Amino acid sequence: MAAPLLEIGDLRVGFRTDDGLVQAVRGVDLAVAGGEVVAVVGESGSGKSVTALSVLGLHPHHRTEIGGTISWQGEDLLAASPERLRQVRGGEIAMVFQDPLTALNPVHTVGKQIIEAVRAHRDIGKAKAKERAVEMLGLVGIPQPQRRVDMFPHEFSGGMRQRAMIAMALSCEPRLVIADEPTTALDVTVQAQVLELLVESTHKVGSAVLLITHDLGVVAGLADRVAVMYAGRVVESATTPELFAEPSHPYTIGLLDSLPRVDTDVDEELRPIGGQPPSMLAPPSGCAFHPRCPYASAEHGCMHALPELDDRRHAAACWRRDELAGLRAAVTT
Amino acid sequence: MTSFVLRRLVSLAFTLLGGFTVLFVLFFALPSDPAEVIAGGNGKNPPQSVIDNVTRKYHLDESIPKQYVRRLWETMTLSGESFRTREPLSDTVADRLPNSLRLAIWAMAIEVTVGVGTGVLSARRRNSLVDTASTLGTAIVSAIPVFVLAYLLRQVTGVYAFQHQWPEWARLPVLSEADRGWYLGIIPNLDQLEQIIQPALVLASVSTVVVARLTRTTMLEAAGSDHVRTARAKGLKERQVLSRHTLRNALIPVVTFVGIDFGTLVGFAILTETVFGWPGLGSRVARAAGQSDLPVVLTLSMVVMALYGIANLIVDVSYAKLDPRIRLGGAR
Repeated sequence: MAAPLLEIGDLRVGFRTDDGLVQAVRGVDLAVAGGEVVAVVGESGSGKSVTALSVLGLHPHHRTEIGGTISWQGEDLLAASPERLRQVRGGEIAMVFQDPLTALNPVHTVGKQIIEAVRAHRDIGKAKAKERAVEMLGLVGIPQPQRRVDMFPHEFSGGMRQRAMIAMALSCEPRLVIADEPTTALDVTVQAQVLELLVESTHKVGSAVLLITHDLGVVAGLADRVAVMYAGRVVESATTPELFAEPSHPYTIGLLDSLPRVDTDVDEELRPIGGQPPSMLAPPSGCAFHPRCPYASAEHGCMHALPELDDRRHAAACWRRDELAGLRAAVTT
Repeated sequence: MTSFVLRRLVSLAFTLLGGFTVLFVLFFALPSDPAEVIAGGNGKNPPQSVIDNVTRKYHLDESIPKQYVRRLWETMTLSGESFRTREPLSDTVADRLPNSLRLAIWAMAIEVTVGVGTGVLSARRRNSLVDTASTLGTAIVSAIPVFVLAYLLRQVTGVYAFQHQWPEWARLPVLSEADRGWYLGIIPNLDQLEQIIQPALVLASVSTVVVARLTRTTMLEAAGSDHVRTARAKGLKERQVLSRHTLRNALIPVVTFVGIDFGTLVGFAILTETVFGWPGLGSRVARAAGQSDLPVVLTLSMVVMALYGIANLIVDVSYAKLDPRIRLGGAR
């Protein structure tokens, strides 16, 4: 792996609320290399979006506690000046948000919003910036971009809005695009299209992608590497083929077992993961997954000691990692 | 858009007709005999001959429908005259309307600058000293009745300031009559400014409080919206995020309020006009109503209603400009 563009080390994010500190992220390590597509997978509340927003410092300052390091090409973004952070936002790291309807400002034309983004980072005139906006809308496959550029977000369909968001994100040729559940708010019929477009067009521009999703199925065809998050921590991290071939954390196994597969018998039952994700106000002691884990056992320390992500190439954070394959076979038969 | 405006103007005409009819009917539904009131005042038993005279002169002996048509025509052509003063109503309108508009425009200017300014400031510095002070200040101002505020202000600047040799600029004479000849109709010279500043402040006070609170709320709401996060994420400067993506969106409901409020400032400035002796429409209508001066009540009320309707129309049109999601009556 080349020297990483983005390296997140032991990131901790807490939100002060009336009920106490919500520990949304509890020590996340994550790296993205140039041109790479990395997926972060996890259920709602696992801290994946919080991690993504932390990179650009987009949390409300007054009630956020943040620790660890976010290193961007060797530069610590957590210590960056507001002006430097502004340059990075959109210029070097761009974001695509979940719901393009609310993420675009309804009172400005799509073109104006792209032009704004371009002119925030490039010293060019409005006319030139508009040309760029039209070009970008064309790149993401919006028909008649010259006409569409002057339309308002509400005149676009959901899928087109998200394409426009992608166009906006790529307009300044960022080194990295963070896509936070980019297809969750879209119709199922266009989800695959938009995802493919995202990866394809970022590839054209030469950007790396950090793809945040709750859908392990989405990851399969698109990502080079996957990090699985649970309760504010990365519990497994591997290349995509390795992860699917040999899931090494009970949570990942659970996720995979709850997905329908084309290569097995249709009669085979999908097995959902039992129980509920933990409250991040008071996360469980030990391994956060132990209350839902079929393999958790006191003698292995699951209930009282927090397993660290091991430093193998295919990393996992589980006390019984090496026994899992055997245990799983025993359960299924 | 044109067809929308035309349709709205037609419906405004019907609204005015309805308002006219209600006022007309109310006048005759009153228990007192208008002729008696005009002849000398209710309960003062003016001589029957005078009453008869008045009845004839003002056509009060005609059938109600006939009088209705007469007053309607009179009102539409501004050709009536006051029962009491015999002043032609075209003169009254020409006199009073500019004064009312001046006062309303200046009050609106205060309402917008001070109201929006305070609202933005307290939203930006939420829960700070500024925010607390403005919350407290607006609560106090809105709790004081307008006439108390007016008398207080007049007492301080018009009387106390003179008695205690306050600096020149703090001494504002208690005036009775607004001078004519304003530059461009609304821009005052120094003397005129001295005259208008107090009534404008008092008239603006309640609206300013509402605008400040409304702006604070809509600013906070806009600041928390997803598109503001997007604006920040694409590297806009804080100033741009504030003006283009927060304030721009937050002002949409404020514009609606201010526009509709303009009609109120023109027509319902009665208390302010009375305390400061400002010769506007509202105080004249109020006086006429007490005197059963039907032509004055009808004509001036219709002027106020028409202004109100036009202000509303302007709000609706500008609303569609401010918020592209709104379409005017399906037209476009």
